[in-house]
Amino acid sequence: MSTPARVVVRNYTGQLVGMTAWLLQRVTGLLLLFYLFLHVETIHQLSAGQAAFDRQLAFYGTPFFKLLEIGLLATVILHAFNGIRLTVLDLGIAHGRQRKLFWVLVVGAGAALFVAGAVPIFVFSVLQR
Amino acid sequence: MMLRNNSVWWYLQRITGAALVPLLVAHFWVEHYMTASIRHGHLSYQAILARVANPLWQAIDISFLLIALFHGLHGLFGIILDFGWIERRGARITATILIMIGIAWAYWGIEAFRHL
Repeated sequence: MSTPARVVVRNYTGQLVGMTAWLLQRVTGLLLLFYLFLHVETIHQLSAGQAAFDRQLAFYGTPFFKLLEIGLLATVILHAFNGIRLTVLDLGIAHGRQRKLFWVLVVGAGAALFVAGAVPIFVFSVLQR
Repeated sequence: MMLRNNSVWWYLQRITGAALVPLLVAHFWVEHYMTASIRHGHLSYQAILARVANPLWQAIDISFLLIALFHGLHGLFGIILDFGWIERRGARITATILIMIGIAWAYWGIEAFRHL
């Protein structure tokens, strides 16, 4: 007899961590899709020529946009790390340890990477301007 | 098609997601540490053009855009379905609209390189 296929079911109902992760993935996903639109729009401005494009880049280099960029970094990290977590769970690896995986991978590793990226942006592009 | 064979689309969402991680890391690294950095100065028209003039980079960027668009719009489709407000027919119409948005968006993105 062959072994029955193991079905991995993600049940989020009543699980605070799982529900938070699920909601976070959707909210950050929507934000990233909106950012992709803005990003393509910016790249499109290349055809406006050097002067106009560099003026727009300088505008995006202001502390306000740099703070938004730090927010973008957080959004990307949350979405990517939670996405990795979902993929790992779907592969059947770490099955039953999804909460631990959330804390270690998404919160722990995500926060470490966020600090490593956000501190230089904040120090060099927000404080020293 | 979209609804009859859900697992293929779910699988593609995972595959594109897995592809986006290294693509995004590389994109970040190239733009923020190699092109523009504390050492190299801010990102500029010249710096971007120098990179994008290379057809290989254009191919990578366009692939990146197409993969991101599939992942993003398919994700949006999932979010819309999760509300449970639309039935099969509505889902098919929504999918068609999203595919059309995706094609237009892809064309718009690729078009950005045309005049360079």
